[in-house]
Amino acid sequence: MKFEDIKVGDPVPGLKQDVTIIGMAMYCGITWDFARQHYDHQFAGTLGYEGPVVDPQMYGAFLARMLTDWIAEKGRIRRLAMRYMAPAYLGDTLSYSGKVAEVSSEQGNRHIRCELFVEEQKGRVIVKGSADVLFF
Amino acid sequence: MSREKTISARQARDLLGKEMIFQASHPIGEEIIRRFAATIGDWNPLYWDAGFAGKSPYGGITAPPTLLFELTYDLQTAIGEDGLYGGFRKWLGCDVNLQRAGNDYEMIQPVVPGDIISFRRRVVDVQEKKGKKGRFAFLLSEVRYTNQRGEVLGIDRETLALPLNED
Repeated sequence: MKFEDIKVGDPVPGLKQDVTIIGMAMYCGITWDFARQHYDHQFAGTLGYEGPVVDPQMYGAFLARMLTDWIAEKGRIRRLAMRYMAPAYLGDTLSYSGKVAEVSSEQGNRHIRCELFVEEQKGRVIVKGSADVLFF
Repeated sequence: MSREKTISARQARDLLGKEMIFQASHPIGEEIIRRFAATIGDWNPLYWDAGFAGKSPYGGITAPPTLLFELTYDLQTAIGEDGLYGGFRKWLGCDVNLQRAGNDYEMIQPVVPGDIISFRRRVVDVQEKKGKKGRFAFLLSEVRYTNQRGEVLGIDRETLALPLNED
């Protein structure tokens, strides 16, 4: 992947994530966020959720991973913005995707902006986001 | 039926300007960087191979980009029945359900092992909105993260939705 080859409309190579109870427990542990709705079915129900619900900041971790899998060490994420549209649940399969919306190299600052999406298996949009990536 | 904990519009408005400052007592280490990377299945050599990372434009091991915004140092505070540690609740001054509506991460400088992080959280805006699921207060906080040299590493603009009652 080279900055010079990137065009508006190019897809960002996506990734898939199966939401498992182990994955959610791991994320709770590493972030020291033990909010019970992420792993306790009954408790999640008392808050009006269908079941254990994904910690939205986890989408950010996977969106960043998707972008860095793509740009490797050639650039870095400068901004990652997300709006959480709907909850995702244990058992869902999430698709992370992105599209290049802007490419610029003004005054030697090589930069792209990507639109980002997270959807569940039925196509429901879970996250709408955008990222700015600077190339070294 | 949901056991929703709500607050009044006035309680929500009173949160504007509220500040919390936190200072870590210990530096970031490769341990947490690799555990975080492993948790999200990220085998990028930038986090795992010091030789590779050293020759890259990063000049050494760095943390995955969103780790900074997940750091918490409230390790000695008891965790409640709902799984939340007491510090945030105490700071908020009210017991209410919190739902994340958005995060906007500005990544100014990568986190490296040895960084001792401090952050300042401040509520910068409170908006009342009516949605399909009732009335909410949207609380916008700005969390500014710095290292031991006072360099700003990142800023998280975080929006939380708090359900409002009729009071």
